[in-house]
Amino acid sequence: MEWNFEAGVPIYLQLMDGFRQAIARGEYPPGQKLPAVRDLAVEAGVNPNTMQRALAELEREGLVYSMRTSGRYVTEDKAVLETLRKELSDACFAAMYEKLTALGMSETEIREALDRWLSSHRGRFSV
Amino acid sequence: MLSKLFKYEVKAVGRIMLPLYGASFLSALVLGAMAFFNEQAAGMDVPVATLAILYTLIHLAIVIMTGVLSVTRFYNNLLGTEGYLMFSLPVGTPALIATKMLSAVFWSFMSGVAGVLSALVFGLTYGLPHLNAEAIEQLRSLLSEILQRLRLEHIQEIGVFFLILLTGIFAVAGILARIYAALAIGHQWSSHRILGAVLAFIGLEIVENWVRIFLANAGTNTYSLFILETLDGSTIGGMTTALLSTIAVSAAAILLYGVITGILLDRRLNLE
Amino acid sequence: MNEYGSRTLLQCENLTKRYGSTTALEHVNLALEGGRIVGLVGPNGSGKTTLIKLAQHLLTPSEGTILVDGIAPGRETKAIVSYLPDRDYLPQWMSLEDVLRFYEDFYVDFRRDRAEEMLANLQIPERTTIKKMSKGTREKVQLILTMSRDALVYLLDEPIAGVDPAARDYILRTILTNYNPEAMVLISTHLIADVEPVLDEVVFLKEGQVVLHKNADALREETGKSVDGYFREVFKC
Repeated sequence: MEWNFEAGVPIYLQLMDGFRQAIARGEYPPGQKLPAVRDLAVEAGVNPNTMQRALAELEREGLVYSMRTSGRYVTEDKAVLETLRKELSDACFAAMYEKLTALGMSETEIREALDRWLSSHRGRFSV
Repeated sequence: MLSKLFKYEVKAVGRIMLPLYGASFLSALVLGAMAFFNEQAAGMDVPVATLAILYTLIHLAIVIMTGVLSVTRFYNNLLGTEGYLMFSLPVGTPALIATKMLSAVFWSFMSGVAGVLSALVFGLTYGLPHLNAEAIEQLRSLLSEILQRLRLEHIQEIGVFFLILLTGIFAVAGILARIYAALAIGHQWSSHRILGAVLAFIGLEIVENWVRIFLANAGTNTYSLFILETLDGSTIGGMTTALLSTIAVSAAAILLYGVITGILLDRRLNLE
Repeated sequence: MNEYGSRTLLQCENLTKRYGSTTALEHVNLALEGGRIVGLVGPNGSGKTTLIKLAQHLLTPSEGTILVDGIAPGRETKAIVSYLPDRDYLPQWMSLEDVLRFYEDFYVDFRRDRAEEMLANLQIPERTTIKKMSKGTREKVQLILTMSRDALVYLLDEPIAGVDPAARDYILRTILTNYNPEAMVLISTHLIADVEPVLDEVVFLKEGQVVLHKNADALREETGKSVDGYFREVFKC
């Protein structure tokens, strides 16, 4: 993963965001074992304590779980992963909605624009 | 730890001194051989003279480098940027100072030995081809005379000889200790540290002379014996007392300078 | 004690250092714990090097005390402190081989295999003398030697001053990969942005005084700025 940190936001929060994205994208598939904290920290160029904190928070959210001896794994819980995808897409929509309303678009206009955009790009961005 | 420090110190100086000793032996060898052939067949005056000058210069270099390195090793390795490394080692400051002193004495001694050996090399290369029955006989008698003198009844003379050597070593160490103390005092200035050291050296010399004169005038101590006895031309017993007291005074001075240097480098160190 | 259950490895009480009439450090009170990477930040002349040198007994305090793992700096503490000065300190005549043996001889916590592994990546022959190395290589060698000790305290004085971004990444990675997790790493710098992500805590020094000592993430959260951004604000002329 490529890391670029923003000013003014705690690094552990940015690390958590990065992991959420990576898990949702399947970069870390369900059940995958995560590298050791120290290695992850070195790769991201951050303090191991900060990395540890980010992972502990993700564990609290249920996105990763740890086996006492063998390390940390990405959750295999479908519901949790589904919620994650939903949360991330909601966040994208929220950001888009905010920008479009700032341009003065109404909800109907937005819906129409989205349909138009989707049909004109169909095929090019197929899943 | 002292032995490890000593090992590196000897190595640091040796990488300069050993090649010089080597050059001295080599030129002694060549000079001896050329001098011999010149005697036999002449016509080599100029090369022999040139080499003789070179030989002298090498020895001059040995003397100068022995002295210079004794001072610069202390100055650069402890008070220069290398001081960051040396003063970060888990060893005491006294060990660092003692190492410099021991190494300097060691190399002064080695340079002396190298000089003697070099003369021997020259003598042998020049002399061996001259060897005939008569010369061998002369050598034999010389050798037996030396052995005669080394007999037990002359043990005192031999002792005095070594005592003189020891006195010389202590005298050298005494001067070094004063130089080190002067450098440590000069180090207290934030700039012009060398100038400070030179002034400190002169100051210490003046003080040391006062003390020596005071000791001599005090009359009650053995130091005055030294002056009286040697002026007298002396007995062996007198010589021994004189030499031992000289060594004692030098040792006291070395110790005192060592303590001054140690305290200054331990409590008032300020590397640039 | 902190949340990782570590002990105080560097403690300053009322620490003051004066050179003649100038004061380099003034009444510094500071406690730094194990398991942390701490940034000692401040502009040039703010007393960073003085503080580090006091911790290594290369200077003695004018007033107050400084303790390393509870002991006054000296022979004992030097065995547990791995120090990287802000200048070339290795004898020029030594070869890499000499230097490795030197460290091995004097520091029981020196891991030669670790040093050799890192040096192998730099591809410097062991017989190269320090004198023949480029400035950049020499700096890397010095860092490798420092980080190859299993020390309890690492004192790194300006390890990234004047290096290019690639070298900076190399240096930070070397520090992160090698430091002993129980240890306290103190990194002094005037370029906070470069080291910000690796820090647990920051200590701001200004004209010889500690003006801030805080968890780096907490500082970002509270100020809404990067530590670097906040630093610029505190130290603006």
